[in-house]
Amino acid sequence: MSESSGIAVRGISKTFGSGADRVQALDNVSLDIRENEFFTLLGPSGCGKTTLLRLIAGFEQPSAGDILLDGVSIAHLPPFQRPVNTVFQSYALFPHMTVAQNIAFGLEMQGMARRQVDERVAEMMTLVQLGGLEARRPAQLSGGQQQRVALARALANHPKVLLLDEPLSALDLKLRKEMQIELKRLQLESGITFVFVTHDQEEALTMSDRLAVMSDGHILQIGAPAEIYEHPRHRFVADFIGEINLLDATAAEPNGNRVRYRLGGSQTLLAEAADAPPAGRVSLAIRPERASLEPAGEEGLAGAVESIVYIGADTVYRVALADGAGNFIVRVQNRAGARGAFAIGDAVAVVVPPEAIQVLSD
Amino acid sequence: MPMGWFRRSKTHRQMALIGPAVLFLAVLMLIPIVLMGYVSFLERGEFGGVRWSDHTVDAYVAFLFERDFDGSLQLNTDYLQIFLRSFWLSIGTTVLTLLVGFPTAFYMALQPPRYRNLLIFLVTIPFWTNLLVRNYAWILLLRNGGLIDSALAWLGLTDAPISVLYTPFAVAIGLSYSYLPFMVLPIYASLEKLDFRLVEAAFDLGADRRRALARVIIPLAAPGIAAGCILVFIPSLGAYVTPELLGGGKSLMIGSLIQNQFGAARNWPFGAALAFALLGIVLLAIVIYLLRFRRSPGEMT
Ligand SMILES: Nc1ncnc2c1ncn2[C@@H]1O[C@H](COP(=O)(O)OP(=O)(O)OP(=O)(O)O)[C@@H](O)[C@H]1O
Ligand SMILES: [Mg+2]
Repeated sequence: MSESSGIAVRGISKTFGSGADRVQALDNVSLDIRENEFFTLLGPSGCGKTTLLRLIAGFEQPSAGDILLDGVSIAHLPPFQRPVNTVFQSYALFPHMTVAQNIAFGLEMQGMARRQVDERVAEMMTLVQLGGLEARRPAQLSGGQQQRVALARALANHPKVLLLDEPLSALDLKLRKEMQIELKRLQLESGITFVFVTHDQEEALTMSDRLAVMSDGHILQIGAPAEIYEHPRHRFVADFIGEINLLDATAAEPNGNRVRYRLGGSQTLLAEAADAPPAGRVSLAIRPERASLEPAGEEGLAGAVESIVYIGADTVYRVALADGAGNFIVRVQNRAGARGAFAIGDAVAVVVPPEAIQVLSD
Repeated sequence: MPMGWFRRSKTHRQMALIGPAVLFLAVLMLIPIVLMGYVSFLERGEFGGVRWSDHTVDAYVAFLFERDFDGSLQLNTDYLQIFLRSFWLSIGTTVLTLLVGFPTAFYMALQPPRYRNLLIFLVTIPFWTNLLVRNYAWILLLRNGGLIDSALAWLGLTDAPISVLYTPFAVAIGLSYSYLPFMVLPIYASLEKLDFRLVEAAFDLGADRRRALARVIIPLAAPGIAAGCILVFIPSLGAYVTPELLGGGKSLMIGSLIQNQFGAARNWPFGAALAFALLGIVLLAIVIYLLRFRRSPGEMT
């Protein structure tokens, strides 16, 4: 990873208040965001995503640590001197200005000549497909249109970095999907680094080049979407991203380059051994779509079908494992011609390929 | 019909609710104003009062013209000048009050909510003291050898008496002090509603503090600023006690002029006509305000 381009967050901590009201919003957070990257901060409400974004924008001062942009510290600069623009969660459009005036604001602050400002505004209006709405006021726009204006206003200055704080959360599902594609297109076309905040894991997976999963002021894991999805390194990450089965287990005996894990009673599962397989009590994380259902007697986890939910493309089976080993969700694709092979109450075997198991230390 | 009954009873109830206010306004506002209007079109009585049977527009003519010996009308701008002087003094007072009031209101709006009510209370303190007491206090402060004068001399900042008392500036200071809450409270009300994220957005887009103030904060507080200016300007225009005491009665203001007509000059119709001219100016100011700031910026549809 290049040290000198992109954003480098170095050991940032941020506390609010003091005494009994003290809140540690961020605790020793470090991360590198590469140039031209679509980087997402993902985490539950209150984990510190907005705080991290506001520190990068300059609205808050870090309690400790440093922030570098292209190798130069920007932590001491006021927000108006940082080549960073923000799309606020509430859009924060100026209500007393028209759409065109809103977009022109940052350009005027740079001291750009009137004619160039007008040109750039027209360019931005086309980019976000708002042609014809120049003279409207924000209050006369729909949520999606306001969102586009906020985007155009932040992009007009050609910042090095664009910060987006849950910009899509106020939109309905259909518009949200459209804007996701639009945002991705804008990011590719402009070549600007996007730092995107969301607590929607699906949004994070589909849009990001890389993402950081945060919890309680910490970054738990940073990686590409597939890496985070396939190889979560924390129970929290596994649980937060998509649906997953988490089974308590203890390591039994190694078996070649695999390890056998013991669940409850006589149930065991064979998993690929990592470089340093965790010993003692562990969690086995298995995606529902990576397991399959076979008739009882096959090599696998014994159990009985407890419920069946048909959801169009897939059918989701919930299996109660024998010996109190817990429940297991299996997601089976519905293929043409295939009939529902199992009914509620059927004894089944849940078959899990060893490479589908992610072993997490507790 | 139950609905019809409900509706009728509702209008009855509304009438009962607003009735006292309407009666109050009619008796205590409308009747005196109509009476004054009527008086302004009457002949003056020899020893004050009016001759109720003789109608004339002399009072309004006398505002701008003077009768020569031969009875021809000559333009006389004396009264107009008094109006203009009062007008400029009120403008000065309004500007001074705005310069003090806006930062005060801004500071208040930035405080944690639990301190704000205390600050509002503190700002209204001028209302709690008697008008005369306030003005005499300012005389003590402003006169040569008074508190401010001797403090400045002691600090070595001045070597001659400041000679502020009995000048229009002293009047403006006294009026500003009295009307400061009228300026601070409406501006505070509009700044308090201001979404501070808009200011952050301005910073984010490259505006420094000064330009964020000029381009975002002041425009959004404009309705409050305009309301405050009107609320200070109007009473300043007709102020009587403060110009008399702090201005030393040296230069006549509208308030004193009107008072004179009902008092020493015993010219009630002229006093009433002057009061009506003042009322006209005030109404004009309000109409301009309403036309300009009828809708707050966020609510335009
Ligand atoms: N100005 C502040 N004063 C005190 N505490 C704050 C302040 N701003 C944030 N916090 C606290 O810091 C923590 C992190 O807040 P933050 O806004 O960064 O969360 P978030 O991840 O953006 O959550 P959400 O998804 O709900 O927007 C929270 O516990 C919050 O209460
Ligand atoms: Mg947030």
